[in-house]
Parts: sequence; structure tokens; C-alpha cells
Amino acid sequence: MYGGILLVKEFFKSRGFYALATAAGLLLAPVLYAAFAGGVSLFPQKVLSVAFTPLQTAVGGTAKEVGEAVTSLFGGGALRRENEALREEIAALRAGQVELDSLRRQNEWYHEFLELKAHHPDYRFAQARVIARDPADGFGNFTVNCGSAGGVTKGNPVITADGLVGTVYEVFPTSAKVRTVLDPQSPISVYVSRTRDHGITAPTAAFSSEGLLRIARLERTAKVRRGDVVVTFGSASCPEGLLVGELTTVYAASDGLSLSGTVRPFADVFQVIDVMVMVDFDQTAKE
Amino acid sequence: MRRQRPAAEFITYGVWTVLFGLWQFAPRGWGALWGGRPLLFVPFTVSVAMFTGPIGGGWIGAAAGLFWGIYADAPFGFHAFLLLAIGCAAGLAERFLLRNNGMAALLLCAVATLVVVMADWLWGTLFYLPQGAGVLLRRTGLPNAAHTLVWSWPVYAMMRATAKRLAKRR
Repeated sequence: MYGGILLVKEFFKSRGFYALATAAGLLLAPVLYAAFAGGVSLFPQKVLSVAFTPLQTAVGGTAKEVGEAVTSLFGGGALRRENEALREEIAALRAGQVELDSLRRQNEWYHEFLELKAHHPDYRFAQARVIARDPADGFGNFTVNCGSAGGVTKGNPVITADGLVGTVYEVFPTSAKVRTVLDPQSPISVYVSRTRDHGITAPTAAFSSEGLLRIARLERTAKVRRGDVVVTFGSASCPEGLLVGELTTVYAASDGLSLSGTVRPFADVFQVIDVMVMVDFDQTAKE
Repeated sequence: MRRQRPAAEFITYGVWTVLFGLWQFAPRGWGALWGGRPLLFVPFTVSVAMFTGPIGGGWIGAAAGLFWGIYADAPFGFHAFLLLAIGCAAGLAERFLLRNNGMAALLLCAVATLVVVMADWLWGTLFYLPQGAGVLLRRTGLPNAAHTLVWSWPVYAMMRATAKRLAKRR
């Protein structure tokens, strides 16, 4: 026992331990800095990110193929095909619903991705693929293989043909980190397409873990109802009219002055792989 | 106490670090078990520390944590510091407290996983999201910990085979 204590003491006096303690101090410094200064991306992080993006892209692609092969092997192929067919059907129904809104308001902002591009020549996209997801993250945040070299900047919206997925919050030369719409740190200004009632997304952990998004600060007199489509309100970095999701519930907020609700995002933020980063759009173009 | 490590040892564990990192962060690399995905770097760091000692474990932990930092929504260096401490502690525990076997690996992995999950939760959730923090721990943190434990023995077995092969080479 006494010998063991001596050995431990010897370890704490060794050069190896001092080197390790120095490394620990160096690692802790940026953590403390980030805690006080907000998010910072350091030079070593940028270098590592550039080095590992191609590898992670390759593994991400392979993992997808393997996952699909395993699903097919266990009889999931038919279910997957059926699921895809249903998804297409749902997408067509949604298109019809929003088309009615659009006609009524002479507002043609809703289209599937290709149509969206045709109707919005000012939208410029960078094609990207999800290459990494941190399993410890409960909001589905991810990293894409497109960065500042592809024109991506902080705040760019990330979308799929189904709708808005999230926004870019950290950019590296060949990759970028994306916060999904379910993350409480990325509130978005939105409105209900049918009534044009304005609100703001205010995700909570409880709803996010079920894949739902909370919408708050809707006018108390708003005539919104279940099934209404929620779209982005528009800002300097995000155009108006990007699909967000469908209202699933509406209830009076605890303050009694406004309405809140839950929205099911159209895009499956936890499963999405291929995305588009909207790198530019004409801010003067109004819907 | 100190011994010179051949370059082959560093390279081998370095390659393992990259492989585990690539697989841990692959978007569809793992199916969810009880709603959680495994934090493979934790059993990896613990297992390597059990075969290389506190210094080797600390350095491998730091390398794994730096990899983690590229993709995590936490300050760069946070996971590196955490895994460095875990690697060092696991190496010391193996050297002075526990035998080097599967049961000890499971025990150390359980403790290390809980430390990482709680630290992640405290940093990411409690500081930025006071409301509903418990829900996130229950629905993400603890399932991840449970899934990680499932992988602790296979990872330990892989590292034991690697250590044996390296010893034979020496």
C-alpha cells in the first residue's frame, strides 16, 4: 500500500505528468475564453476540420449505403419504398394546400426545391452533404461538407426540398456547422401562411426531443388552427417564405396575452443527409 | 515508470483514434439503441489507458477530444480536456487500483461515460438551456450512456488485441 502511494507520488513528479498537465492547461484556456467571449473557432480547429472533412465525407457516404443495405436485408426495403411513396404523396398534398394560399394572396413563394429555384432566380445555393453529427447533441445539429470556400457564411439558411432545416453558425474553409430549427439557440421569425400572423420559434428541450418546434408570441386574436403552414418571416440572412412546418397544436400562452403552438418541421432534421445552403438571395425582392 | 514508446505504438493508436472518430460522427453510422448513440471515444480512451498507462491514455484522450471538438457544439478543447483527464485517471486506476480485465474496463467505462455525459449536459444544457434540461438528460444523455456501455467490452477487446500485437512486435 505504502509502495503504491510512493509510485503515485513518483508519477505526479514525472516529466510525463508535467507535459500532460501543461497540455491540459492549454486545452482549458480556450474553453474558458469561449465561456466568456461566446463561440470562437480556433486556428487548430480550422486546420483539423480541413484535414478531416474529406475523410468524414467518405465515411458518411459509406455509412449511408451500409445503413440502407442493412435495412433492405432485414425486409425494410419494401417499407422504405412505401414510405417514400407516402412522403411524395404528402409533399404533393402540401403543395396543393399552399398553392391555395398562394393564389388567394397572389403569393407564389411555395415550390418544391427545383420550382423554388425557377421562381426565385435570385436564390443562390451551395449543394452540401451532412458529414457528421455529434451523438451527444440532442437537437440534431450537424456539420456539412461545404464551407467558406463554397461561399457559405454565418447565418445562411440550410434547406431541403421539404423545408428549412437550420442555419449555419460556424464556418470553416471546407465545412460548416449547422444549428437545426429544433435548437433553442436559433430562434427564427415566422408567420402562418394562411392568416399571416407573425410569431417566433422558441424551441424547448421537451418538444425538440419529440421532433417538434414551439412557436410563441402569436397574437391572441390570431385565427390560426391545426394544419396551418408556417413559413419564415424573412430577415437579412433568410428570405421570406421558406417552409418551416405544420402547426400541430395551438394553445393560450401562460402569460394570457398571446398564443403558442407546436410545429412539426417538414424536414426530418434528425435524418437529413443531402441539403442546400442558401448562400445568397436578393433582399429587395419581396414576395 | 517511464518507458520509451516505439513510433509504431503511437501510429497504431493514432489510426484507431481516427477510425473511431470517423465512425462515431458518421451521420448514419449507428442505429439508435434506447434512443441513444454511442460515444465511442470514451471506451476507446479508457481501454487505451488501461494498456498504455496514465501518460499514454492522457495523450490519446486529448487527441480523441480534439477530434470530437471539430464537430461538437461546445468550445474547442472542452472534450479534449475531459478525455485527457479520463485517460490519465483510467491509466492510474488500472495501475494502482484495478486489474486489467473486462470487468474493470466495464466499471471504468461506466464511470467515464457518466462523467462525460454529465459534463456535456452541464455545459451545453444547463448554461444555455435552463428550462427542460432534465428532459434532455433523460432522452439523450442517459440513452447515449447506456448505448456506450454496450460497446465498452468490444472496444476493450479490440484494444487488448492491439496491445498484444504491439507487445509481440516489441
